[in-house]
Amino acid sequence: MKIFHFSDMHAGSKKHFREENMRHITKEINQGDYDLVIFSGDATNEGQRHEYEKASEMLDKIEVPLICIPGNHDARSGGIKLFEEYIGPQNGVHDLGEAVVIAVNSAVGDSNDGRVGRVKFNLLKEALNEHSEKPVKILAIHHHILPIPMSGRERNVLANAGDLLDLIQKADVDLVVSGHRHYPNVYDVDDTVFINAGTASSKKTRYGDVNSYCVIDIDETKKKVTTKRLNGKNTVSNFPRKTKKVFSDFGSREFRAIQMSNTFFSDSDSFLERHWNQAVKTIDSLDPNLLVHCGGIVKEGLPGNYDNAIRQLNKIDYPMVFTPAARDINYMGYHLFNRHFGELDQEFEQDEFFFQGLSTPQYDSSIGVMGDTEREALIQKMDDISYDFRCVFLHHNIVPIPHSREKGLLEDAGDLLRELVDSDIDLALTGTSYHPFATRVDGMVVVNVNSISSAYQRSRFGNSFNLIDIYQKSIVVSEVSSFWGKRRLLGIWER
Amino acid sequence: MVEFDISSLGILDDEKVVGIVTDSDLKKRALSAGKSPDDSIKDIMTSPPITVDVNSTIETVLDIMTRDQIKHVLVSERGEVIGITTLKDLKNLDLQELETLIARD
Repeated sequence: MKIFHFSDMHAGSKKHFREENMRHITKEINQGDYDLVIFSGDATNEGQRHEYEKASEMLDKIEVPLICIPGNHDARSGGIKLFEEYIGPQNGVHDLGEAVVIAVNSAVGDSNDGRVGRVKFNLLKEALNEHSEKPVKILAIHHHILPIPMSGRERNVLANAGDLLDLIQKADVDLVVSGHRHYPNVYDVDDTVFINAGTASSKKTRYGDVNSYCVIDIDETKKKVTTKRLNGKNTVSNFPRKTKKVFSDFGSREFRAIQMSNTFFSDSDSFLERHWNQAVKTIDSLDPNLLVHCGGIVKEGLPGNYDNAIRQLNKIDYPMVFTPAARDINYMGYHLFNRHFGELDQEFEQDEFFFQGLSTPQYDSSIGVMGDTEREALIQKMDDISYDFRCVFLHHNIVPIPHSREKGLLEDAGDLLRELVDSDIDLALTGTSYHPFATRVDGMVVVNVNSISSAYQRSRFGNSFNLIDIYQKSIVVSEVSSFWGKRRLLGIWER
Repeated sequence: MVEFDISSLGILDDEKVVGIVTDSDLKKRALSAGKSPDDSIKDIMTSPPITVDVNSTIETVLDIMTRDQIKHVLVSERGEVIGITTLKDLKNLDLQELETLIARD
């Protein structure tokens, strides 16, 4: 099956629309051997009637079956009604025999942010259930689900991206096609390929780039995505259709790390001391090489809380590294963290294993940031060292987490995620949003941890920490209940 | 089983899952039957394993577990084993409520 995917046309706008691009793209489509065309939103710039007239004139020239969804610009000025009039339905389930394409409108009127509301989320879930046996499952949604590089300060803009990501992974969706950020990007997340086509014909490109679209070839054995820039430069990404699901040979265990966050040491009720004490006993029995604390050490950066932290952490006899959350450095915290725990960016090495901490909180703000200068230095450092296994750990999220809003994401998550993946980092550990989650983005395993002993947590499994076992041939990530010591597998990946 | 803190293992023959062995198999068919640690796993495994399709409901799985008096059911997709679900997984659905009850005093 061969699919042509383009996005963000912005038709009819004198300031933004490049009509000659659409003429080129239409010719390309009609002369090619495509089975399907997907347009992933922003047909217009302001949702105006004259723009819709232009957009439909452009789309009518396409002689291949076409599926369109609206974007945030199409919902401006109440334009979503005109989308239905000129282009078609906002949502839809298209059964194409061997494939199903589910089109979901994520636009919110007069807002650049996106949302898939509760009713629509459930309809999507039902549609995926109903078509679960289709060999090819495709989701078309305008807003990106994973953060996109080169998108500056903007983070994820889809409010419930974490829940969608979780649903997509559970339903084993093959392709997710999006637009919105005007910068092309492709990721393989645990066998689902997320494609962002960039913009086909808007003058508003990012970082001086040219316009782009994608060609997707999908068959039984592979998914091939070609990002085509209009200057003739093509980038090809190949992904296998099936990866290993049955594991028999792990090799010997080389390293055992325990990941925790949000201990919340304090005299308040939100520090669950009984859970902490039970967890300490389980940690002893697991005998790890290293404990990684992903922030939220204390409830607030007050001297009494830090004294409590030192008392509680003295119960642990294993090497430990820390990275701060905003709560650890507020009030006197910036000084107390430094006095009791040392450097903000900590590191650990043992044999072939290297762990690098990235301090991301900002004073008096819940939004984390890495910053261009620090990110550049970090990537340089990680590229220069020669360990067999390289891990980074930070407090803020770099992929969206289920059951939480996108606000835990790092401000420049798009750039950091792309650069870590491109540098072949093996593992990234994060610790906010109070919910466990593990996945793999291209070759990098990304693991978020629930809170170990804070009353604030979101998982039905209860407070927990993560056990990360690194074998010669695989990485095994499990969640361990703080109170019960019961283990639950979050994922196994080949190294 | 000790390393991964699990109660069952799928048995492979040429990368295909041909059977399953659980901790109660080790108790009933190995220990109490006087088997030696060197005996083949073939003698104590359940083969072919009981398998449900990935699209089955929790209710179906519970029915099978009750009918066959088992705690482990393999999950397959298009004829290929992709996972396992256990009675404990189903019990875990209510673990949080239980914890709230016990942690309060």
